[in-house]
Amino acid sequence: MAEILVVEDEESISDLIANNLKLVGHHCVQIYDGPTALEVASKQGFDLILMDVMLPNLSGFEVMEQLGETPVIFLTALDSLNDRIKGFNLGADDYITKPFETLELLARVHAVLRRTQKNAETFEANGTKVSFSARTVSRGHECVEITPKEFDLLEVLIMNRNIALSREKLLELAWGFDYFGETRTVDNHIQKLRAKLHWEDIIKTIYKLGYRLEI
Amino acid sequence: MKLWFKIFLATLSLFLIAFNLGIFFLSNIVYKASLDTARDQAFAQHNFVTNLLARHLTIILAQERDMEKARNMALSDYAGYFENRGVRLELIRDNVTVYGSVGASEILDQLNPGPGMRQSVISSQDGRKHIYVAGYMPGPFSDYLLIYSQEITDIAAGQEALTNKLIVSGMILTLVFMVVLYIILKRLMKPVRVLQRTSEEIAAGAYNVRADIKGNDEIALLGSRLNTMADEILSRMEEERQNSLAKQQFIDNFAHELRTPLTTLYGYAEFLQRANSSDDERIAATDHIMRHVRRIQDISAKLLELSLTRRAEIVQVEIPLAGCFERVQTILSPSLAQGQIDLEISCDDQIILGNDVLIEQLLINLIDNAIKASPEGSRISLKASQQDPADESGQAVVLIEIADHGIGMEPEQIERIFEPFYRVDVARSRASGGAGLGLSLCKQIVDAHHAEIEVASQIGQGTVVTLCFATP
Repeated sequence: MAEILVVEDEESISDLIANNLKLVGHHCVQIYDGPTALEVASKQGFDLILMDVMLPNLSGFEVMEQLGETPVIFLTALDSLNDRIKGFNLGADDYITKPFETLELLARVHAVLRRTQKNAETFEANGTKVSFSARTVSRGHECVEITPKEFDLLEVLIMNRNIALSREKLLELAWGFDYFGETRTVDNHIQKLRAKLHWEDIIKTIYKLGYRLEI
Repeated sequence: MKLWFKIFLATLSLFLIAFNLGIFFLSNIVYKASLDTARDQAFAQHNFVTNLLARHLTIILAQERDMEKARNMALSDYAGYFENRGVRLELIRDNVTVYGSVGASEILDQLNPGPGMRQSVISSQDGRKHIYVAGYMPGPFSDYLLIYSQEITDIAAGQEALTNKLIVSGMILTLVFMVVLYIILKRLMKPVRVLQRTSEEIAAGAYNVRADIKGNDEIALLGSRLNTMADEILSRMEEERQNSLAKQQFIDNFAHELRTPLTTLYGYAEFLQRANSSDDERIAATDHIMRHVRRIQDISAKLLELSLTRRAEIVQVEIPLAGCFERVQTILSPSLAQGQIDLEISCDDQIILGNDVLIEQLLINLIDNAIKASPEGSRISLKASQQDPADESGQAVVLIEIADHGIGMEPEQIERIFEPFYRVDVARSRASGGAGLGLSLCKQIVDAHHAEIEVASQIGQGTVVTLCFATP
């Protein structure tokens, strides 16, 4: 769980981002203009700032120049190369252009947090504890035997918890783009995870969509 | 063949023809004149000899000497005197030569002078020219015919030499003439070359090149026309460029304008489909979706309106402003009441020419903007006034003024307010659901009426929009 500052003047989009970040367990503060963002960021430390470039009164680039060490992901409709370069030159950690997909946003946020080691070290549900750095799973004091592929799938589910993921998406995220497996493979792995972790109730099958880890 | 070369050849051939004809006539005249001189001299000599001989013969008669012997002696004296000068004498009596010979009996047949007269003939033989003068002796010796002949080959040769000299000097003169003509033509043709080069460059796309030609001859005139043409092309191109820039700007803005609602729509739809969400979250999500669909609807309606206004034939009628203002106030009364804003209308019986529906739309849009910029409880004034023409050629106009006491605008903002999708205050305008197209539409309505719109504003003081319409 990370503290994330969302600076976006369009209320709908700000809400959308905040909703999705909350789903996967982050805590969000929403700010709608540049000067306030600076003020809030100076008072409170954040793990990550998601910021629009075109903000009222003070542009995202100008805010960035006055910010401290906090990692920044720019989020904007400006997709010209120059703006990208300018953003990266200022030390931005990533750049997401609108329109974006939720999963892409979450993946990029996750990537930046992992790089800055602000990701949660462990995840616990129903008495089962998952440790990401050691890649181990335990129940009580017992270690749960788990294959590397099962752990990959488990990590994807936890990272995108509360969001339904299709079998194809899971294949892509856990097995990689170049894996030409069948969606049956996903079903088999999910069954095994449910049994091993005693997560029958929280890894839900969503009709016509796929699976969702619900916390 | 190049023009200068054509002129060069034509001038040169004319010069050569004129010059050679000149030489021909001149040498002929000179030749004739020298022949005349030679003839006059021969006549004079003949006269002198006949007179001298006549006197001699008279003396011989008086002294009663042997006539024939004495006569021939005298003649041989003369002949001796004349011999070095190419002169020969012949004396004929009754068609019988009595002394000497000029050696051309067939020529003498042509000569048949009357008594006391002289006759001359010129003949050439074996490349030599002679003049023959025949005349009867005076007085008692009129039965004697004296023939005088003189060689004039020198005169002909002199004439030929003169002609040759003229031809040689003519050739030199022609060379000089060619060089001078070439230089003059090159100089005269220089502006033509400049024109040619300039037009080639312009044709190749260098529209900022201009022909630099001074003077006021035809070529300079042509040059200045070419410059004017290039100016015109340049200004047209600039106009086109501005047009396409504006269109590109419009498309960019439009794409950007669509991106936010599309992002929102997709994002919330995805959220609804996949997220483990609460009822509250679902309601909020559908709320956002509906609001943004409404916004796209609004944009599309405004765009349609814009394009309809552009295409529509404006049917102009006389619009009494008092009634028009009243209708506008009625339509706007809900939003006026909401902001507790007082709309002050001041209008006499002014009438303007225009399309009533569009004019009302224009006023509604402008006053709506004024309401959005005004704080609660303030005043907006809508005023019409007639302005008489400044001079006799001018036309009376009606000014409509919409003044608010709202937040006002920066000069840079005023410059851009007629651009499609431009918003002075992005956050406020989005909150109130504006598409940023209202003033573009106003501008289009104003343009369709050939009217004028002016905006003056001061931050914190308010904004005054002035419309200027033609009167019927």
